[in-house]
Amino acid sequence: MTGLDFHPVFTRLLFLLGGVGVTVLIAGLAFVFGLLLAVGLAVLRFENQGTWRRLSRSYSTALTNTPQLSQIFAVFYCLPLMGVMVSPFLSVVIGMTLNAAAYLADILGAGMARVPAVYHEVALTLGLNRRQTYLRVILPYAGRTMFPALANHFQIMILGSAMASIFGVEDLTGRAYDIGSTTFRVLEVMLVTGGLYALLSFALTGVFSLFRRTMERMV
Amino acid sequence: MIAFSHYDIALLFQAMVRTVELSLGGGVLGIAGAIILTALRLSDMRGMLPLRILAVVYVQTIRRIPFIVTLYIVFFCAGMMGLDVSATVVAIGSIGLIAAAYLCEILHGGVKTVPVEQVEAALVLNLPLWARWRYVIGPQAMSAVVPPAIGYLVLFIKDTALASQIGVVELSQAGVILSNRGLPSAQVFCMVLLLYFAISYPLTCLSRLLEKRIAVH
Amino acid sequence: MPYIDVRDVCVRHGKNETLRQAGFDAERGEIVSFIGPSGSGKTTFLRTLIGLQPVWRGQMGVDGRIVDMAAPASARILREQAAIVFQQYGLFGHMSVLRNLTLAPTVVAKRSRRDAEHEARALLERLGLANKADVLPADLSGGQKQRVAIARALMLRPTLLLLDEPTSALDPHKVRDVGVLLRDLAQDGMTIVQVSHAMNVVSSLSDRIVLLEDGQVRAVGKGRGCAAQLPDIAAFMNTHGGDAAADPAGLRPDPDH
Repeated sequence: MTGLDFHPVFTRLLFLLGGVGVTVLIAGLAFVFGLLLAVGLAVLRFENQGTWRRLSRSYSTALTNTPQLSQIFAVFYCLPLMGVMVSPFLSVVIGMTLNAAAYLADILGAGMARVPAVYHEVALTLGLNRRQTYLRVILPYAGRTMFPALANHFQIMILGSAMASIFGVEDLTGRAYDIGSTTFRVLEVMLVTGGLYALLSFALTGVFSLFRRTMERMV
Repeated sequence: MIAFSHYDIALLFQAMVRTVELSLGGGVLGIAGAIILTALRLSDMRGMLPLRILAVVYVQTIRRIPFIVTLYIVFFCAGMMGLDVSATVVAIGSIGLIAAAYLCEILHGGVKTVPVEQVEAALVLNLPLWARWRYVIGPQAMSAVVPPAIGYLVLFIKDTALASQIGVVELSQAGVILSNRGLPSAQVFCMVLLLYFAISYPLTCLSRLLEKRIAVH
Repeated sequence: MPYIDVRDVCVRHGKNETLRQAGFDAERGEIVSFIGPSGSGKTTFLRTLIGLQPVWRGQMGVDGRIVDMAAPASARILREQAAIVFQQYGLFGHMSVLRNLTLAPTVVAKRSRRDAEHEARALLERLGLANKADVLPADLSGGQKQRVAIARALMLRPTLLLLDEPTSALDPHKVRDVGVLLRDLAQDGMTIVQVSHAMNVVSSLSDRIVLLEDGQVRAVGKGRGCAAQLPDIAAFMNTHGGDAAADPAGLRPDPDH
């Protein structure tokens, strides 16, 4: 057994820290696009009784019951078959977006179901159309009650984005793996990386609670 | 349409068994770990304070580290300590470490839903510790623990896919192998996803059913 | 020496003393009422008597046997001699009424289930709950829940029965029933200590009244009708919605009896 030697890791700390940005970028992009898709899915679920509703539900059921890694693999291997050439980074973002949409649609659906029925009626009597009703009344109201669940899912996505390293993306884990394979100090670099993820997550928790408090004060 | 040979089918089947093994093994370890962690967090003996803090820090921190990073850490730690264990054992151990933290949060939260008054009622009846848990706290916490615990189980069945990264041939890795053997990727990955779904979906349904049952009562 | 003799009970929360040298005594079969403004320490005092509230100092004598209330092992001993009925009853919602009653006798006192059930059914019958043995507490009315809670306490065969606000959650017409029941139990030799805000109940039921203020015992009234005799107690009761001399519930036994 040899001792731990963190020196080679610390000399490359700046490179490693750069990975934090890539990690946040991947999770952020997938979250934003996933949320857009999810709004569509949730509205479908809410407005329709028949096939569309069932399709939207099935989408969530299918993607929440299969691993994100396999979904990204499917995107990674199958898009080129369809003649679409995308970078590993984009494959990961697409895979994570599709996955996030499934979970976020469930969260949005549950949040919208909690909006009192009168709100729909009030919006109608005020002369708002469907689109305005959702954008101005339903989603803002639901958004407040769903904030903790959405924030929690973003944290899950930060953790999930570590899968990007498997496809050769230089996110935090990817860079850690690079450093590990050039310095042979894998354990040390992974310990530091784990600490960085924990710090990032604690920081996000702080940002979210600050955001929530200012939001509440504004109301 | 599918050109699977029976070797391919056998590989898929073995991989699926491995996935179930990882989930079950990790789950059992996780439950055991969660019980110990929760007991530490709830202990009110004065000398236990450092252990209590340690348990909270563990639970709070490990849930903020990606599974794949934990997996690498455990894998290389085992290697460094000269432990001669298979990748499967490392993966089960890692899953157990993480599951213990998540399940501890669920268990701890569930126990906290039992009103203080119920605990006091058990205390004044002079029920010993084991009887307070067996007859009063346990049964009442159950409804707040079991559905989310199963829900979490479903989540980490999918995380077992990452065990492929330390060389465990489980379901998702079998998909990659078959695809690299030249089998049609689209069909291979559909198959893999379907098999995961077959494991995970029944549990999702069970969790929802239990939740509804409890909501009725 | 009195049958129950509680002395010098001190409770501290940090630097605050929520109970200062509180004490009282009572003979066998007496009903004692703790009264006082909210925050005066009545409920805290009651909870010390059954080891739910850690005390800094204090001792309790029951029939000449002295317990050091500050000793770590005192809770178990206190709970062997006393039983408590909580304000919200604290019935176990997931167990039948019968199991609520037999749990402690079978698990703690190691009595046979059959024996305990026999006694429990007899007790339920006495309290007018014979047909409620197998229902869940959620299906009972407030008054019924309270009687089940009392029955569960009685199953422990306590020498001292404690009640926290026994009438606060009851309809007015049920208040009298509880009073009659407590009187009956006291006549059988059980010593009862209650915390109460209902001054009418206090004045008609109590053999002794302990007035607490700021964690200290301000006044103690002894004997039937004591409420009217002590100026402190009478004043407190008159300002808290009761008439110290009145007996509207008709619970006070005839003095010549």
